Amino acid sequence: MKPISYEIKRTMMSRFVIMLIIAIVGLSSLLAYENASSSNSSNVPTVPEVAYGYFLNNNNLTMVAYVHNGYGNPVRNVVLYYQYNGSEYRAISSSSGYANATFPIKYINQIQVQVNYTYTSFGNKIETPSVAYTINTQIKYSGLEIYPGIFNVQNSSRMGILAMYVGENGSSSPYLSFIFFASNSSKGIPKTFNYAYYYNFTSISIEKIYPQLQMDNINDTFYLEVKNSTGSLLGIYSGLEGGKYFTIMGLSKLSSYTPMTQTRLQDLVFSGISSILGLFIPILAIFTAYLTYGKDRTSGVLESVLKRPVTRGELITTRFLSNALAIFIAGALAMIVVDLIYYHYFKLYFTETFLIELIWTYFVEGVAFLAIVYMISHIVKSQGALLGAAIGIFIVMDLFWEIIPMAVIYALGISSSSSAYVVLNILFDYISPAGYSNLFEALITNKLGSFGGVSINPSTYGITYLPLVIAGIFWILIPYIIAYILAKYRD
Amino acid sequence: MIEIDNVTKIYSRRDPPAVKNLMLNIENGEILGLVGLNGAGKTTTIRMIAGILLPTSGKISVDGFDVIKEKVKASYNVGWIPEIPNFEPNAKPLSLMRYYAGFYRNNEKEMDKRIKELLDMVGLSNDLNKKLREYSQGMKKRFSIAESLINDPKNVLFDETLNGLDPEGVKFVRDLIIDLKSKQKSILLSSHILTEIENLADRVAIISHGKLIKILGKSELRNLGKLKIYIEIMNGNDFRENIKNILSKYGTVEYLDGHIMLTDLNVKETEIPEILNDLIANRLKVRKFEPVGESLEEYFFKLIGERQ
Repeated sequence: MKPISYEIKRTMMSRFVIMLIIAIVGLSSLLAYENASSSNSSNVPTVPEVAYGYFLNNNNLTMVAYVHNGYGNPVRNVVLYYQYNGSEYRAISSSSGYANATFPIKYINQIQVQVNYTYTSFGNKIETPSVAYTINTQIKYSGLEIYPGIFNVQNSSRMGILAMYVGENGSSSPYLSFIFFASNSSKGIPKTFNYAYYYNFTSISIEKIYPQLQMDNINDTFYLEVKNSTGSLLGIYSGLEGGKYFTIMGLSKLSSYTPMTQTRLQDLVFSGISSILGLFIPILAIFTAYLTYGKDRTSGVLESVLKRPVTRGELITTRFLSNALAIFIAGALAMIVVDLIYYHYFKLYFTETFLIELIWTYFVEGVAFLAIVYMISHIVKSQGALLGAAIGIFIVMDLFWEIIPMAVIYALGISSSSSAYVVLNILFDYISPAGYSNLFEALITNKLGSFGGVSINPSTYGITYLPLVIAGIFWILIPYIIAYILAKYRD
Repeated sequence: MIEIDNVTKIYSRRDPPAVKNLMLNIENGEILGLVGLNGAGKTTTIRMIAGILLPTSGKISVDGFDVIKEKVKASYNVGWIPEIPNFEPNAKPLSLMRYYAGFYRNNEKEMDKRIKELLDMVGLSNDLNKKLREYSQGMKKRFSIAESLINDPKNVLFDETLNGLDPEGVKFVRDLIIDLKSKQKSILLSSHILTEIENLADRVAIISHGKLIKILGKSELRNLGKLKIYIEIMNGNDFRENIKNILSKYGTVEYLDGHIMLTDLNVKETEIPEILNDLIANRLKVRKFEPVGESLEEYFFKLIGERQ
């Protein structure tokens, strides 16, 4: 077996390396999945909303309230308050979402009921402001109410309407036909409709309707007509306004979908995956260097190899390359899997340049840490001292590397809006390999990665491709060459 | 063949040299014993020959190749069995041997065959599925012997190899060394067990505090442990020929600083008084007549004691 093959096999088959690669690829994939799957559902409201209706029976008014979430599904235990004529009436939503209250009213042409509700969020009781619900007492029931803007659980970028019907004495609806018209015209009410969706229902109280939107039509504007069994157009009431006017109401878009762009895709990477790689790639590098080289050197295991016909230089280079390969595989595999996950959701791959930049960035970061531990392996004499140094390097130069500049900046009293702040951050990013990915992030996103991203013009601060590539090469070569020289000329 | 030319090794400027101006050579087919107290510089010397340590000055050549400048060629023909072998703990013997074999760029099939032969020779054939961390110290030493001979090297360094071996293991190593010598290998044997060195070595180098004190040649070694007679005669130089004529009948006569050493005795121990009688009968005034039988160990301690 060729020694390099054995070294690669030994590195790649080591339990630590396997576990770390699984962790890096697994966590990056999970985060990519979370990013991708939540990027469309992030607009779904988390607070309960209420759809209102009413019916009158003699001198009693029954307020019908359907409490629902962003998907139109019922929400229980929300307390509704109805204030009328100096009295307050209370109802709690049941598991079906209804919270009805009946109270006596004085018959005049128009009455107003103040409504609000309270709900609990993470242990906090939240109260919504009061809203006036106006009722024309000549109309004995609210009939059909349309609430646009509910999301589809199956596809959270797709939206629909919540149709609520309160008939005489609270009865359900007669036959109703819903027709969604769509237009790609962006100027007011369109004169022509490009296509329509039809939905027919009988006996509805609450109905969620999601038009089967085509991908090409997600930016179109939709309108709704509701007809009865004879084909007559019914009036549509516009929510809390209550007024009975006959119109075609614009439902606006039925999709929250916005096409993914390369910039957004890159932002997703820098919003979390970069942190995982920035944490775990150095761990992989530092401890692989310790386990496969430093520990062997300080314990004397390396002597059983050095006595062979091999030079000290060849030995360190072979091990270094096999370790570097593990780092490359971890970084490249993670980015490729992340790219595939994003493609699955957004139908968009990273550009080749961006993919190469990312892989290069984390390769440099990892290999630089690798070389530093190789270098220290030839300075300290015992396993314990080397392990301590390796842990110290990880803690100071990686784990806390974003905190140290912050402490220095605070100590020097530098304002976060000053140029000195940016310069100092960039300087720290150049001092540790852990900052290398921040520099690339700044180059790509125009934001300095540390401390939440300060908008900068990278070229003003010398962050361009050439210095970054040179810095990367230096980060790999300088500690490695020092380690090589120490290996060659020091026992 | 190993040549050590004026080699010095300094670990730290604060400490005295571990090895100082050492000059030694080991011929093909020769066993050189290396003896000295702990810290004398034996292991440092061996590790420098093996290419593990770098000499501070001087030159070490193996078969004519400088172990520093021509490390690959020099190490190709060196086998080193350290006192405490240390291997990759999670490796299995066969895969590790194959890895080591890869450095010699030989035919893989032949190497595989040799690996199995060597592991069989050292008695580890039934322990190939164990990881090396599960091996006892004795098993590791046996494995070390096998992996050191993987390329059938022309030069073999045994550093306290007999330590930690059971009697069977000691016999095995002893027989192995004799076998290697018969194959014209150069052998450097360092051991605290001086009787083994005395029995096996062709020459013995005694070092103390990094310096070579004495090299005992074949004839000196041969006489170690054998009975000889230390004789001092008043005005002995005046009767040199006469004395030689008398004593030659009993063995080999050597004139040393003011005294005579009668070695290679051809009389029985019970007949030794007759030699004294013979000298007196020839009117020689014998001041001291002392039969001595010195072993390497006694010689070594005497020499070291004198030095200190």
